[in-house]
Amino acid sequence: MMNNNPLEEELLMYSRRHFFGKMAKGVGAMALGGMVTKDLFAKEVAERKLKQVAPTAKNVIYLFQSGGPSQHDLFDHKPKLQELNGEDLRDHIQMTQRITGMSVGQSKFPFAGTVFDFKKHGESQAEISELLPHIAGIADEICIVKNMYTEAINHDPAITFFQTGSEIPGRPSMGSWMSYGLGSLNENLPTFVSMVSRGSGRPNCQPLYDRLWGSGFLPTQYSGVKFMPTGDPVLYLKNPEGLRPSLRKKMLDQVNLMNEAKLKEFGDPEIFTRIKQYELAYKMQTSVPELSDLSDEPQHILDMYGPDVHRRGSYAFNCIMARRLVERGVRFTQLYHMGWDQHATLPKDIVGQCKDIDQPSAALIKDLKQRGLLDDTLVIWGGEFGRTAYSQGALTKTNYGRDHHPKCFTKWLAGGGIKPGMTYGQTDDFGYGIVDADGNPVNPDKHHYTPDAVHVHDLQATIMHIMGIDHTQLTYQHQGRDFRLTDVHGKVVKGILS
Amino acid sequence: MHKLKIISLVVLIALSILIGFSAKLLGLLPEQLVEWYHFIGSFHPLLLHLPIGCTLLLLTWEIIGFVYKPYQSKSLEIPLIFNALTSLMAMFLGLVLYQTGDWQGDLIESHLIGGCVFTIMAIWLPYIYICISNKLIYRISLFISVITLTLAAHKGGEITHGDPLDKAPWKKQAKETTNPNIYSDIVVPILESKCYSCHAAEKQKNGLRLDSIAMMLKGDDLGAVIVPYKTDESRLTLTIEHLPIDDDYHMPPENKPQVTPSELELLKWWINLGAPEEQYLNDTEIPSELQIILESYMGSEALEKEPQVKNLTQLRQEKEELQKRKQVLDEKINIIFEKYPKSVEYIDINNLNLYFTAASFKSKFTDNSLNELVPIANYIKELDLNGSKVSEGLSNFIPKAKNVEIVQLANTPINNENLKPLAEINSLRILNIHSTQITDESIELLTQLSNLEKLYLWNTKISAQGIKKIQEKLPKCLIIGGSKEA
Repeated sequence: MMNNNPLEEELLMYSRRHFFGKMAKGVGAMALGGMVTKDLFAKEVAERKLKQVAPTAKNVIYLFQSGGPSQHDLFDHKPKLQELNGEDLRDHIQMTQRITGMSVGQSKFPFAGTVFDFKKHGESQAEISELLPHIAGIADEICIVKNMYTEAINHDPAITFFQTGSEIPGRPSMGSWMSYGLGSLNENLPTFVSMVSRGSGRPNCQPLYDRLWGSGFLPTQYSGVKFMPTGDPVLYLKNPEGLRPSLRKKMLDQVNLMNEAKLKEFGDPEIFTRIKQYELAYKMQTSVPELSDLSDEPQHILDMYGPDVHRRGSYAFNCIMARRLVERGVRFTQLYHMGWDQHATLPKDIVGQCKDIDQPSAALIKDLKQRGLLDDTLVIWGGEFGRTAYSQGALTKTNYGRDHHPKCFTKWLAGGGIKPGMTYGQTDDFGYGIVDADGNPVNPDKHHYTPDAVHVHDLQATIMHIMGIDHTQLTYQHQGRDFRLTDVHGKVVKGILS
Repeated sequence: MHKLKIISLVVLIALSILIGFSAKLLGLLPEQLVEWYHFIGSFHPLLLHLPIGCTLLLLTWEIIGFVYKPYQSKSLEIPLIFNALTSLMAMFLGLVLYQTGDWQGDLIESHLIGGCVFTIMAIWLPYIYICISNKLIYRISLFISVITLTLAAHKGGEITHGDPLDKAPWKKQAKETTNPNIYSDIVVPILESKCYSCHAAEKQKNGLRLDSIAMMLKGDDLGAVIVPYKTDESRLTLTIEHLPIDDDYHMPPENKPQVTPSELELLKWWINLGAPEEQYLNDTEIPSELQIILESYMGSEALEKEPQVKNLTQLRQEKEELQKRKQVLDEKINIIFEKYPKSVEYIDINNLNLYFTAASFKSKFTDNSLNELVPIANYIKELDLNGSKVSEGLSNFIPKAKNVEIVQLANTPINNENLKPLAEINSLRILNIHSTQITDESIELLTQLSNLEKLYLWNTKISAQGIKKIQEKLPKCLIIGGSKEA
């Protein structure tokens, strides 16, 4: 367990487990000590398939906008929709995208042109709406990808799809795969951290589950640690009243001794995980309070993130935490901001949502950049699907709602390895489907790679490529076959790489 | 009277020779005697200084007397007899030491002979002076005596302290040429780091010393620990290689730092060469599997090959070579990991470039910590010392990290002086010094970094004009932060 390669450690443990499965229990004692040496399994600890290409980023910050932000009102300007405002969609487009149970009862599907103003910003002339002035200010740092698509139509499968590569839960999340493949750069903090925030969105918005940052069938030491929005950032970390840290350490050492003895006897990798988790928890007792104490931040930095930065559980606070986590070598940080699911009263609600995230997101990019961290950090912003061009519910002059739309949506990326100041991909004039550069419709299908469209798996493959991992090679055997994050799909999108 | 003196002198000599060579005459020394012999013999280094001082005094006397007639000595009987007696006692004690068997080898033999010859001369001198009173013969004898003394004493000094001329400043540069002595420059450092703590001058576990070839040949109660040319009979390497780690006789013991596989290969190779003391690397044929390990001793480190079109066999060979080099480097990294876990990783699998981060340690990472990275310094391509406490240590470390491309020194206590070593690093592409006390004084230095692509200056003391100056001199460099922005 000496090197920083969890893949190697894991394979060693895995092989030992199978070894014992086949032999009598009595063998256990002579196991890990001398006989089962590195030589025996050295051939199995095969060539590392990671990092065939030098990684262009060492950390990922995933700003996940839970609920599905409306691309029509934020990034994908469709003047035609404003022109044809109110006209039925079915008169202009053949509906190939299935609609949700919520819209299926509608008699009309009126086009809803956005009520917000779009302008071109920066040298890159990126089109961004008035709702996001700060992000518009960093338009030259980001790469806006407009041709994302997915198959999932509802929130839970869609978010699960983005995080784990499958709509059905049970698989490891992206952060866990990275943690498994690349290991940690800081022994005092977890490799994978996630934080959830709520803003002005309605309180009973779409829930999020802990399995979204879980380790699935990977050993649980790779699962993400959620930092709580209120109270102690990590539950059960503080020592109870009266318990000295030295006494705690003594206790943990004794527990570790027992666990190690059992591990020697049994070879169960979960014991190893438990030992590791205890060690990490002990270290986190000092590192987490230091991390979440913002008193060492200069005022002008805090101001950059906006007024919410002091409120625990806000997006702004989580953003500055994300920057601090990257400074401390935490590989994968995921932020979830809830409340984007605007089925009704979108123009009113989205203003509040954007106010929540606009300034902090831009501040995060600026802060990372001035500290020289943006070169090494990949920042991704986006939701689990897009929203419809038609209005869900009644369309009025000032109000409309939008339903879920997986066929095309927008995400933006910035940082290590991404070409800044560009827009990638385009959708048709109605914002209904993806088209190529000449305007011809592209009917993407995840089973066949489509160069002009970016599927969820393609994005995952690209993220892994930027981190130095070949997505086809980072696998884990479970239930008798090899699994990988991108399942049997996914291709790296070279067009957005610098 | 004279006759009595002479007889007693001869008897004394005979007695001491008898006792001195008692072991050779008796056979092996009995156990209890060994301890006594060690104790008594340990006064040899004390006593021998007396005849040395005395002989030199006699020489000085003669020279001054030769130059200034008034100072010519008239009665040198007392110092001469003092010289003879102390020399005799020193020789006696030295022979006692020799009997313990703990000292063997060519050096010891030559010192023994020199010392005995000198003692004979020391006894001869008073005879010449008192009985024959021939000034010329006396002076010649004295001269020969001094020569013998120098030779014998030098050998004696070498036994205890090593060759003093080794430490001479002029010699030092000569030593750093790329032709190391296999024993002293390759084998000894290994033994020093892994064995000497229990098997050298200060401690002799099981009566075994490993700090000279002579000692290793003498071995312990089971005999020699090395058999030249025969590694399968040399316990030195057998105990390292073939015993399981928890075996009582496995060396080094389980709880001590272990001999690494490449170190073991080197030791075995040396034994196979006959355990030579004076054989040099460049004159020796190096087996192919040791080429890579020995590269680091030769001072030439080829890190990456030039990209060229290669066929499959070449590619395969290169891959294998890379794997071997990686193993050697892995050993060094593992040593660093013991103190600084999770701080080093390979950037990718195609070469040996390393990324080092002090993120886990921040303020606990100091200049001393930086020194511990020296073994891997020239493999480091990206150095992240943000938030650490390094400052002056950079002057020693940076010249060794001559291939580094990205240096991060944000939030460190560095000053303008500490940045100076960076000027020599041509490979530097990205430099991050945000939130440090660097001022306009460093502008000169920064403009020398001609290959710089990105420079982070946020929250430093460099002025807006300063930034302009740097940008002018480095037009291709992107300067981020600094007082031109808020």
